[in-house]
Amino acid sequence: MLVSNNLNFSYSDQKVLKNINFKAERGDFISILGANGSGKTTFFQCMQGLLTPDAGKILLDGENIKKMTKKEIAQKIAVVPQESQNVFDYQVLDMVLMGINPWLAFSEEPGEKERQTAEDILAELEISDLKNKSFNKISGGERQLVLIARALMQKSSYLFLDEPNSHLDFKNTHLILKIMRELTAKGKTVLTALHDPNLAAQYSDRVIILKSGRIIAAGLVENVMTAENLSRAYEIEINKENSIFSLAFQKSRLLRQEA
Amino acid sequence: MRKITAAEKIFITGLLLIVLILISMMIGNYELSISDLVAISNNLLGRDYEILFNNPDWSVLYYIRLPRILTVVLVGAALSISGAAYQNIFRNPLVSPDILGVSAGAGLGVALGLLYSSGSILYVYLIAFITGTAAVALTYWLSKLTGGKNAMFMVLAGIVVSSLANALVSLLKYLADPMQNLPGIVFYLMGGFSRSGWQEFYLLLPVVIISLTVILFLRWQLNIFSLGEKEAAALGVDTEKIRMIVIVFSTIMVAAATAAAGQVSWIGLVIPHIARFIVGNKYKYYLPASALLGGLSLLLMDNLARTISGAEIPISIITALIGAPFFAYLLITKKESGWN
Repeated sequence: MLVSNNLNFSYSDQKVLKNINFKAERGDFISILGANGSGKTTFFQCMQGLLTPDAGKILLDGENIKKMTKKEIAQKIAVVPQESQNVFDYQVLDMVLMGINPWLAFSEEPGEKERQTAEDILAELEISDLKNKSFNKISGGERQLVLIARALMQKSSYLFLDEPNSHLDFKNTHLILKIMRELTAKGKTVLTALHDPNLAAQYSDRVIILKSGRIIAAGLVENVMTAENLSRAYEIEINKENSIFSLAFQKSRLLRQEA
Repeated sequence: MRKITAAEKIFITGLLLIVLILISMMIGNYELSISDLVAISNNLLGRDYEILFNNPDWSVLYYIRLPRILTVVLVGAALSISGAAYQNIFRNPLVSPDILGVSAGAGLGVALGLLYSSGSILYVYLIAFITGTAAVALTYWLSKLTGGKNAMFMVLAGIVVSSLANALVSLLKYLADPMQNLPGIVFYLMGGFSRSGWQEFYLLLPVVIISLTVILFLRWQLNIFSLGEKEAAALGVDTEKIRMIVIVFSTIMVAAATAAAGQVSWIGLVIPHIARFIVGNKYKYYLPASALLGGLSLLLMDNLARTISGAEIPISIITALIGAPFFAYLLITKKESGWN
């Protein structure tokens, strides 16, 4: 379980996160929504232990994240960054192997066993053909898949994705989120920041909406995806003719009916 | 035809280095042939020390050429492996080991030492080592003061400290007696190995071996570091610790190298690129290849420095004359990413 209690964070004198209470349980798929500058990325970095909050506590499986080493955190949380090219290029297999690092001793290097695991993961994601290609030369969608393979190599129970689709096309966006959905079925906990409420409604179980560093709504998709919440979050007027969130509404209506 | 693997390329580089060391023993104003070398090694193996010690070939080889060659190899390896490690932790292919002010600082120490230490070369070494290390400590402290957590602040602080140290060197040059001291300072800083004897070699050896080993020890984590600090941290790399260790050991190694050989430019920037070009970026090969290639190419250049003309040419002239155009060549021909 990943919990934050009254989390507050500020850059110099600007408060970015205000009293964030959050809880993620095993198998959850949680989307964080919010306009640019609402604090999504900062929230992610606090939850990863990269930023130290001014006040409040973060508990990762019961342990205070502040007292954990980067290695201990990385054993539990894997981060899938936005895909980008590397300054120094590596082979895909080597990129995936880097995921095993939190489980290695200080100067230990991955061996044959780890190599086999990496190949298995690539096969599972159906990208074995990329194995020996250079990471910088494959497509953006393929790179994102490789980064997911690396996250799986980390054997962590939590997966963080900060706007995973920001450089992806329509097809790859849905592919990646579908894979995430399947992973939650296998017991992983997925936490992702998304720009598109429609996507969040399609794939996640729970949604958190941030506005100016505060949670303005949180809970199950069907309860949170309302015209009121979304128009408040994005400061867009929503009426019957305005269809930009129609997918989200449709999905939450469906879920309500089922309930 | 089968492709040569990276490990084989490293092995070949090692062999080439050994061959070049042997060739370097023979060339110079005092020529030694292969048969001279064979005669010397026969005497050594047969323990005919009487004959050996009366042989001028032996004196030239043992007291002049050998310590110089080995020092050159150490300095070359030290500069390139620091450059290679720095390029990974600063995630920038244009970084060289002097980016944090170590060689400017050590240069200041050389000038101070030559002016105020009554000429003992040991003092010059020691002062240069101390000021080189102190310059990097100052850079580190400055970058902490800015509150900046990213590497850019450190590089900027390094520029500040380097400029200060260089200004002080200029001041010392200005104050120095133009007949007595100035030429000594100028030539020392331009770099060269004509002073290198066994004493200098033994001072350098432990520093370089220890630092080199530590950096090679971290090669896997340095590999991950090159993805960027946040990504590396998310993969469980203790980025602050690794950066600190690399900076400390690279600093003492380059400070010692600068104390021994003056400011040798370009090696730390260009050689890691050639290493990447030959063996790729993979941790297993990139750092060892950088070290070997560094030794190999600096030795090649030092041979040029001492044979091109009757008088010896300062090494940094050669390294810049060869390094700069070669780097331009790499920039033009290497179209792959990593440069954007």
